[in-house]
Amino acid sequence: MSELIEISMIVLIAFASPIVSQKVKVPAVIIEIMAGFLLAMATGFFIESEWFNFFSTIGLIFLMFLSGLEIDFSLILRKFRNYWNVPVYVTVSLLLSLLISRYLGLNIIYGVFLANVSLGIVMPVMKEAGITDTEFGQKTLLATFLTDLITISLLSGIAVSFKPTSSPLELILPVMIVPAFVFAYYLGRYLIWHFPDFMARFFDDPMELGVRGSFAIMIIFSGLAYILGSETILGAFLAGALVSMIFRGAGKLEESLMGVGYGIFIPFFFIKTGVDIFYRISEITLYLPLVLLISGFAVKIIPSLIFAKEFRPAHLFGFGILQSSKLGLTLAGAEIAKNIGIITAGEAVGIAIWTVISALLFPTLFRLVVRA
Amino acid sequence: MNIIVGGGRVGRRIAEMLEDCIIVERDERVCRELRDEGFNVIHGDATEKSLWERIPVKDSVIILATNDDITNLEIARAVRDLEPREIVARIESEKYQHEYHRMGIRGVTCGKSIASDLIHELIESRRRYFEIAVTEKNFAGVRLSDLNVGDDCTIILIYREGKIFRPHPDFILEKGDVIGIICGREIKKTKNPFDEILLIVRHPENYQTVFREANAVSRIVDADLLILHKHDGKILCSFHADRIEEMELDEAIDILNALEDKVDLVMTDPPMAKVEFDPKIFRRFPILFARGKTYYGEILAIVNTSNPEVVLNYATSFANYFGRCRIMFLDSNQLKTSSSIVESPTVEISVTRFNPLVEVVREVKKGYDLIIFSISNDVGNIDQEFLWKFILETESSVLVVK
Repeated sequence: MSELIEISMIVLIAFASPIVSQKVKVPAVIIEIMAGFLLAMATGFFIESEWFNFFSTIGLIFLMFLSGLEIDFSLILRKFRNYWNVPVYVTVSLLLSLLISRYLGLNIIYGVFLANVSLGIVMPVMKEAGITDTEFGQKTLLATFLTDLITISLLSGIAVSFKPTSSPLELILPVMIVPAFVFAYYLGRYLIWHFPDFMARFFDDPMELGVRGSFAIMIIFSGLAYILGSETILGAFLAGALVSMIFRGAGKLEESLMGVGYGIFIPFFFIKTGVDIFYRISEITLYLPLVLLISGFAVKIIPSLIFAKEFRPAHLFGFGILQSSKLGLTLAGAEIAKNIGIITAGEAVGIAIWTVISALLFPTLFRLVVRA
Repeated sequence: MNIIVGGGRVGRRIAEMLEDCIIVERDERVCRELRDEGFNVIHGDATEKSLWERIPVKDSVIILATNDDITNLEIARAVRDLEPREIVARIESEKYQHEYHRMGIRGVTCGKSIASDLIHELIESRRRYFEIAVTEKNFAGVRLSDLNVGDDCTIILIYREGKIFRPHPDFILEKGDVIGIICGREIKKTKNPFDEILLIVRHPENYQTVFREANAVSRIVDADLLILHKHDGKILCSFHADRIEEMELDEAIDILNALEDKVDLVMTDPPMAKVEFDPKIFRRFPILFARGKTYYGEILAIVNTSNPEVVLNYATSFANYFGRCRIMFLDSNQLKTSSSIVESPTVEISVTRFNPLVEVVREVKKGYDLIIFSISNDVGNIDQEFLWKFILETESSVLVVK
């Protein structure tokens, strides 16, 4: 009976979050984290609940799958040459992040967290401002895609290298997911050319063949990554990237998958993050989130000076601000790092708080600066 | 000087609009009337060469304004050896249009009122835009598709009761309508973009196949066909190629790079595998990879460019001369900048709904005779790999434009 009550509460929060977020103009994800915190404070449920942990894991996998799916590889390939300063910006920002994390005496994985940016925040903010198709918008998107791609790869690499291993094979096996990815990519392209009618059903089928197929790809790749000793979320990310690359942008299918992901599974992960913050509140120091907030901003704003000649000051500043916002991948990375033992549970909660503050602060600042 | 043959209503109206002109008329009574009205008139039969020997024809513009196509063509034959600057004709029946075209005569075929204005427009080449009022006497009740304004002009809009209508082929004109027409050399280019076709043959074994297609195209669009091939180690340009040697890709590309802008279309045999082309080549002239088709009954135009006009112009031109053309826009926003394109019995327009790559591949696999796409490929998600598959792995001829 109590489980039924718990499920009811979670789905009600998931339902109400977008409504509340629209009213208070804060991302729904933040509302879900706060609701999870308040729920744990009010009820004391969930911490041991198996189904809650299960759905939260599926939510995390889905989140990473959608992160891969959202990356527009055709934009990266098309604009890479013309917008040469964007890769330079991403590289400088990453190097600065690694340097700062070393200077602060933090694990290298913090460098990845500092360099990361949330596409989930950047995209809606850009759309809201109506600047997605401008040169400024395109450069911002390209920087976000590239950063996402690089940070998830680094995150996976670091996670694998920190795992306790008993043989060299355990180090090599996770890499085997790359040939599997390449094989699946060429298989998908082969199918498009030889069976276009069947592949069209991925997008245009009353039985939602595309959602079912994508879900299957996501689970298979997550499972494969797990079997090979890598992280399930890397498998999920690669599965999302695979679908995006095969179809050169998932379009309508992406909308359906977003609906399933953000409508059903992903809220569980964010609500659980809120619950975790509540149970680790005694381990939290304000020092860590504050240092990460300042460092995270510095590593994004300093390299943005590369664009000083082409962007007006408001856009230059706005670019750095928006690139400082964190969300899904940082939370997912913290979860992984905690599970492997690279960081403590208290640090993971500190990272979660930094993420929440950055997701609230930077988009608001961006709106103020760019509108000004 | 302008020499108008025929002193009827059309001939007079043109004479009123032109300053330096002579009217040639064979009816003596009409000649007297014209002289009384102050026109310069020569009495005589214009089909007879002897008459023309008395008139300074060289570098003059001859305007054939009689109401008989056979007479017009006969006059044109009599006069064309005397090197007039240009011959322009009022065409009564469309069945003679091809014959006029073949003789290099610019023609207008849409009734007396519009004909006189258009002929004047063609001669003067000053005003690009003008309007014709529709009355009961000229075009009221006529379908727009039945109104041929000639090669150099096109209808761009119709005013009706304060509203502007786009020129749809099924639009029926009413009394009081005003037809907006623009003229110019570039319009001719849109309607028939090919005057000179160059066939480059790289592989001897493909010669018969590509020549068959190039010959058919040049015949139908009435273009000159030149063949560029290798013979005894030299590159030759001729109307017929008896012996052909293998030509290296680099040689072919060098030729393309060296070509001046005289060529309107380059036809060649498809390469065996993907090759690197300099996109600048396609900016100067389109390249058609021929598969040996003799007619393009089904055409697919893929609008994969942010500048759709080029693809659309070629698509509609081919549809005018050949069969049905399906135009696929890859993004609904493209329609906002392509307002000139309308559906017609030969042109069908569609916009991809869910994934351009998958939808276009599905369409390509249906087996079109001709596929048209742009080398810029900056709209949609079709990557180069698939564009090359269209060239290398289908039975369709492929036209690549800038």
